Amino acid sequence: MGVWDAFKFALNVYMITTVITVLVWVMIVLVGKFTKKG
Amino acid sequence: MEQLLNIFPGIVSFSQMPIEMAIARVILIFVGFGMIYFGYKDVLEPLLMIPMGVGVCLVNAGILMMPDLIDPTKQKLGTMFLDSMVQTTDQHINAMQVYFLQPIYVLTFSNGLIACMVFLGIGAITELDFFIGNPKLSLMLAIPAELGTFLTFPVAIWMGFNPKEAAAIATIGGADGPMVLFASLKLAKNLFVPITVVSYLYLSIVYSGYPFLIKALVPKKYRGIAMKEMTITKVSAEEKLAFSIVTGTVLSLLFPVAAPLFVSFFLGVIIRESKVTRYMFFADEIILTGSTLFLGFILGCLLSADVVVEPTMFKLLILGFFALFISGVGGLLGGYVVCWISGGKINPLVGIAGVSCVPSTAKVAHKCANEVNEEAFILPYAMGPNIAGVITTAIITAVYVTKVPLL
Repeated sequence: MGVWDAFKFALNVYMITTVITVLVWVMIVLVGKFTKKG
Repeated sequence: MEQLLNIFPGIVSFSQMPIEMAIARVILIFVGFGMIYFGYKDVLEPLLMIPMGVGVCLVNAGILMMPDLIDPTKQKLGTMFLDSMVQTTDQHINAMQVYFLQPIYVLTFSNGLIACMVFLGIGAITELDFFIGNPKLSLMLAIPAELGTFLTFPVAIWMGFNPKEAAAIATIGGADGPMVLFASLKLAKNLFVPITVVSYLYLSIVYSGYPFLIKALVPKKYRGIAMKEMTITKVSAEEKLAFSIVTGTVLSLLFPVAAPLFVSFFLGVIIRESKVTRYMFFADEIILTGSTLFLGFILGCLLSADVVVEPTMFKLLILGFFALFISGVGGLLGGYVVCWISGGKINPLVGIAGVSCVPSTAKVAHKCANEVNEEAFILPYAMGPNIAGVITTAIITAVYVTKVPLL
């Protein structure tokens, strides 16, 4: 694997992580809507 | 004289190994003393450094000539602690009769159980309020703090590592010890000892190292922002429980390879939020304390001279530093962005807390802000990105562990 390919692969991993992180945020918002507030 | 020396095979073993190995052994014994001393003085993290230092000292002192379990017709230099090179079931069974730490190594290191036990304990002491109370800010700051995990991968490839090794090394940028251990055991078992040791060594100096980075990159007027206008929403135990169950299930569904990590962390959180006091005591006081002790001690025992004299070790030291440095810079950049978006209400130092070294980076951010402005009490706001950092590090590790074997 070349350095440029490695960079593109790592960027892809970073983007997937960002998308999943947004999903986690959505889950927090949804869970907040259906549960009792503190 | 010869008879006298034969009574002390540890001393004779110095003449039975190459000179560079003998020198490395002596240096490592002193390094072990240093770890214990700086752990005792609280300069390095004592919970890990003291058992690791003891392991490094004793394993490099107590070397003797003994039968080779892989090839019984030969003899080799070894210790009575453990042999990480045995592979087959028979060799493991034989090794367990000889080496006193071998049962713990085989049953907890080879399958990543030790990382999961530490993670369960971390879950049990994690306060989710600050994270769930302000999820957008916390997650926005955790993502740029993974910059080191992203950029270290191509640099490691450039330095000659294969993709699996590079991914395991890159996880150092997430600054989460159990994650590095898990990734290196899954992806680069041949390098798991040096990678994990380098990772824990750097993580233990984050508390004293990051303040220099903060002072170099953040002017005083920004460091002193008190964040008085910010509030943290109160979160119910019910909400935290529901979040843990839903998130744990969804993440395990997406990344089954890393499911043991998610299960361990969220089980710890659920135990805490369920207020089952017996389990809380067990997870925190017994599992976390016990696994941290054995993690440190066994890593120390694996740090023998032959591991250190490898040229790979030098590269790992450079890459480990690079990963944590870039993650710290990324965290501060994220902090500047949220500071700018909020119109100067948010202290940019909370960004560095996105580097998930719980709770060290949050404490560092608070300490640096408090030095400039006594009214700046930013610890509660820094804990949110800190916990978010643990979750994003688990996610990025899961993505690497899932995707890299497919290359």
